[in-house]
Amino acid sequence: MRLATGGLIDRASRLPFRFDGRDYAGHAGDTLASALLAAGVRLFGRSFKYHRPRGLLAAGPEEPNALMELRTGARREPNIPATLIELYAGLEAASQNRFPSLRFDLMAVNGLLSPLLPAGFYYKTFMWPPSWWERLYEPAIRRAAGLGRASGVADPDHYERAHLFCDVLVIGAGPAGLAAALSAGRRGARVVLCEADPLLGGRLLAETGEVDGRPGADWAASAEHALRDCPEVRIMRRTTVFGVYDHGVYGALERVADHRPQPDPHEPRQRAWRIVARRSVLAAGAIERFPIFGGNDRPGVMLAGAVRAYLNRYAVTPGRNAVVLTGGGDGWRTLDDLARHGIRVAAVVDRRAVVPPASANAAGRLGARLYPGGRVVATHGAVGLRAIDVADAGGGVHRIQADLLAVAGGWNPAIHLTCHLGAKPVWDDARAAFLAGALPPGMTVAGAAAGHFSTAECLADGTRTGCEAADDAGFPGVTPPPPRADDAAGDNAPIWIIPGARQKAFVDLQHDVATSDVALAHREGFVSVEHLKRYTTLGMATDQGKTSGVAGMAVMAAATGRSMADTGTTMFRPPYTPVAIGALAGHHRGQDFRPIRRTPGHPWAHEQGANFIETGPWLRAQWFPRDGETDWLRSVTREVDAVRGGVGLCDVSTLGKIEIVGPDVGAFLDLLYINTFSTLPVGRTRYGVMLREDGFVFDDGTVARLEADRWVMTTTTANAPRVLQHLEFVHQVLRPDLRVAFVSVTDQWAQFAVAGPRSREVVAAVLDASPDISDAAFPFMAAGAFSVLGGVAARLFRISFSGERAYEIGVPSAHGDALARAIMATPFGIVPYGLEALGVMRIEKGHPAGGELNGQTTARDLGMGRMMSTRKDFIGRALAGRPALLDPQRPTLVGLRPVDRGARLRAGAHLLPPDAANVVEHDQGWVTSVAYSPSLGHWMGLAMLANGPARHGERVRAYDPVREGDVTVEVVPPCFIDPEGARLRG
Amino acid sequence: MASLSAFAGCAPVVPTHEGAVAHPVEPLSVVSVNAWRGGTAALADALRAAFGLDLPEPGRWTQAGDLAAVWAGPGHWWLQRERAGALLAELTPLVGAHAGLIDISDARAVLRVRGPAARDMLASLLPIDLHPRAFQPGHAATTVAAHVGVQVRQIDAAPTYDLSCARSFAGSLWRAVDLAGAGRIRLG
Repeated sequence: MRLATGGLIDRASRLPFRFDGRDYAGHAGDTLASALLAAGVRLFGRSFKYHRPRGLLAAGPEEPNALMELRTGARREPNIPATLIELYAGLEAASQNRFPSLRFDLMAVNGLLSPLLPAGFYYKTFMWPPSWWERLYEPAIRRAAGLGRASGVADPDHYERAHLFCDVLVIGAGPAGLAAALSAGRRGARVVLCEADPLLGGRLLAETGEVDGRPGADWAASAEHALRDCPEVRIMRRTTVFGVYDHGVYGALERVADHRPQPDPHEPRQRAWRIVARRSVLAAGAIERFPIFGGNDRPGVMLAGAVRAYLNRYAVTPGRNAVVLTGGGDGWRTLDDLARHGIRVAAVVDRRAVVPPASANAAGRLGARLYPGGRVVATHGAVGLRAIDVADAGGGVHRIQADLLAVAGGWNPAIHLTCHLGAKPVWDDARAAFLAGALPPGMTVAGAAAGHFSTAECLADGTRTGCEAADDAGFPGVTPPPPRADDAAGDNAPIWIIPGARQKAFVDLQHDVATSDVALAHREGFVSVEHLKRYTTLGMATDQGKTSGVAGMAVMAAATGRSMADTGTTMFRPPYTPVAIGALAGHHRGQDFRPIRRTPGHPWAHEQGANFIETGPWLRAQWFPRDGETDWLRSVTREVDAVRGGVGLCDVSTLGKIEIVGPDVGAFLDLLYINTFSTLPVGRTRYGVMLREDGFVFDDGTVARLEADRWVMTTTTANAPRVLQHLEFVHQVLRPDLRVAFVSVTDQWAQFAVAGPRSREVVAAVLDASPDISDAAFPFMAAGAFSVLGGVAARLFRISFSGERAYEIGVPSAHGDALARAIMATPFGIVPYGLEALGVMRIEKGHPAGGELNGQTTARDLGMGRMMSTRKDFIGRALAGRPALLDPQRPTLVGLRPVDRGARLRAGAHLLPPDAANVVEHDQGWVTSVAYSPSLGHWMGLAMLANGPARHGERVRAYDPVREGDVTVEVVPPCFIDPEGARLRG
Repeated sequence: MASLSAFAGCAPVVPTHEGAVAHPVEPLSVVSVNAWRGGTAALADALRAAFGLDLPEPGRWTQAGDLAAVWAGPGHWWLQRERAGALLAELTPLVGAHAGLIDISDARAVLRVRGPAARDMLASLLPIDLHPRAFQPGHAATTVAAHVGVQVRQIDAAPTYDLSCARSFAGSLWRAVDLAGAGRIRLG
């Protein structure tokens, strides 16, 4: 029911909304929870396991019961606490976990079965037969349990990640946080103040106490004005700091547009911030405890602090006839606030045997019956509280009519963030609470989070810690007197478990964990609180046990006869409140999942209809389908035939290119490669193989010497960054004395392979001024500088991967597209070919590539043992000489062809002797690469076979148990086409 | 001599709010300069004599006339100029004795982001502190923008920033700036 006056709501506004198909209206400043409460709604959800009716327990992010499906259609989002949903016009929400309706829920029969559904029930019951678990039990249980439903369609909103740096991060804008932010901000420090709520003030908004002689909410508003006057203070509302990470890094989630029906155009719905702070002040406040007593889950039982928040902030009363249950002074404040708004308080149950006279007098004045040392033992009401059974100190039980039971069991400091780097909380007897243990570097805790429960203490603590943080961050100054409040220090008197429960007493409302479950866990031998948590699922729901965790520890402590300190608490891990994965991904989804590299010839290849494939970050043309070609093999076969019979063009820009200059490049390369480069003449290219220090092959490629002191190295596409790293290591660490300089020029040069018998004619046609590139003037492995396109500098290399006469032409990337078009415009029937045709031709030639250069093969294994120079040192030389690497039985590169020429080979198949059993002991090697060879007219493969070179002509089986392949193959030399190399020389 | 922009094919987005603009910096001449070991002083002297240009300290860039020097690593700088031309050929006789010179003009793609919203927009792209207390005109950093390696320079206090990435990533950087700037930046 809405109160006639008060509250931080705009009564002039009227915001219509729908809940479970019914129309309501609230005011700006309401949450969905307060607006529904104002409309008299008491039933907000059904519990997870027993489908028990549940109402609002809290007014903040700790709410365990009132979880909503918010919005409809693609924007429907489950499990949002109604206490966090800011009301907007047109809001649509639905309750969860009920069928067919919230009031009448068929699954509530589970509640009748509750004696049969204790902790571990599912584990124990659905054990047999094991194969039924996945197919039957789990899907059925998931249907019955679970909370809300995801929308099931793609999220139409987008999310953003962002970075923020500051001197002092203040987490929480209650009295302590505001005081800390003011202190540090006035010193000139860069301050970021994060507040999960839309309003700054924290408990000041929910209580009636004064600060500096003004209502707390007014003071908070003036503090906000003062902060706005500090140019380096950034206030972030609706922003939850959810995690603490190493080196002063904090994760925060800003709900940019959640308080509106949908984000504005281009606006992210939420933004995930990575905040780097020199210092931080954790002023996250405290969360009120949920006392454990019989029937404590009935709608109408509400945390006393939440009752005050609804009364004072939202001008809503959660009931008309209240009972207060308290462990100490806190509950009496609730009595005052209820009375001030004219709400009848039928009784106060104070767990203390002796109640201070002033309190007793207040009860008497207001006509509330007082039960010192009393207990609540049961509650009544089908879907909402109607009466309470109170046992007085003498044991007599009294039934009291009431629709609201405000429970004040003390507060737990919100120290979750202090534990994110692994520290354990420490029990403090004086404050009856777990306090922060070892703190993350740079963090201090202030206010209620540090166990200071009065406003006066919070303001003083915030001022002090804010100044200290500013000092540490390099902003010294005087510490001003704190803002003044005159409330008494809080006693934080706990109520853990009220004995004599006559009904089920719940610990964790969201996961339906009752005291009986904890007791069972104890009987079954669970001693550690971490085990207790996992066995009973206490504290494992979406609220992560914010109201229940410490109470659960208390039940365990009572069961085991240990103290709270000895029982300890479970670990708090990020995130503090749930974070959508989408917010962490930001823009990186779909086509923007990761960056893409495109070659300079990409626009041309795209126009040519290329089918592209991702190779690492690169997009490479895989093949170029032509009219009538319905499968890739036909396209690839045509492309291979065109190259072998005429001429083709392939974009090879993705291969790594490293330009190396300086007088000592020869010596540098001699160290890097197994073969000698210092003897390479200017204008020539040489193939080289690099080893890792452990003697295995690292990468291969060519190096051309363009000028005496200017060389260019090529690497495989995949290894380009690693090779550059390797060069940096070798130069910086092993040979800093060498005068060499190098950078990646992969992006500088667009490079195209022109391959085939007619390649020279094509190349001659695109070079400016018809230079002599006859075989005599520009033979195989020549390299030189030319000019194309009327004056564009070009690098020409007579190298071949296909085995045909071939050239590679490089031009500065801005001209790559034009060069591709110029080459295609030559009148020699040139066809573009892609990565697949390139691969087919390299297998036909037996050139090792990815499948063979897998990090487990040596130069000797690849048939290149004789390339290893014996006249110089090179990286990997010593370890390549290990006896095991010289063993002739090592798998060594061979070619394979199927004896039945129609058979298809598969890479990954293992090689077995013809008549051996299919067991691993007979494994002699594996197939590394296969392709259909258009030139041969059958499939072929490369393989690593034990003692391979000595076995040419032998037959083995390519056995592929995964794809049920078993093909007899003949072992042949790895080069299938033109082994003498006559074609590539011209 | 038809050359193609590194950002060819990147569609400009519809302007919604012109808090900042981003546009390619083209043409550009860039030469990577690695001082020979012990040769930094001689390199610095030669550049000062030839261009009046001081080599920048780590994390900084300098300018003399239309020639800028950007720190790129220990003993490593980029000399660059916002016009096409044979910068390598021009530098070689002047400083070639003290450093290894390599032309990377076409290896880089540069987006210039300018306007009051630029800093906020870049906060969602760059994991570095761009606050004026930490990063000012004359500062340079090597970092990442949406997983694309970039070199960032602050040009002036407008503020204006140059983001330089490997040319093959130009489309992805454009897209990242487009997404980060949506609603507050105009691309063109």
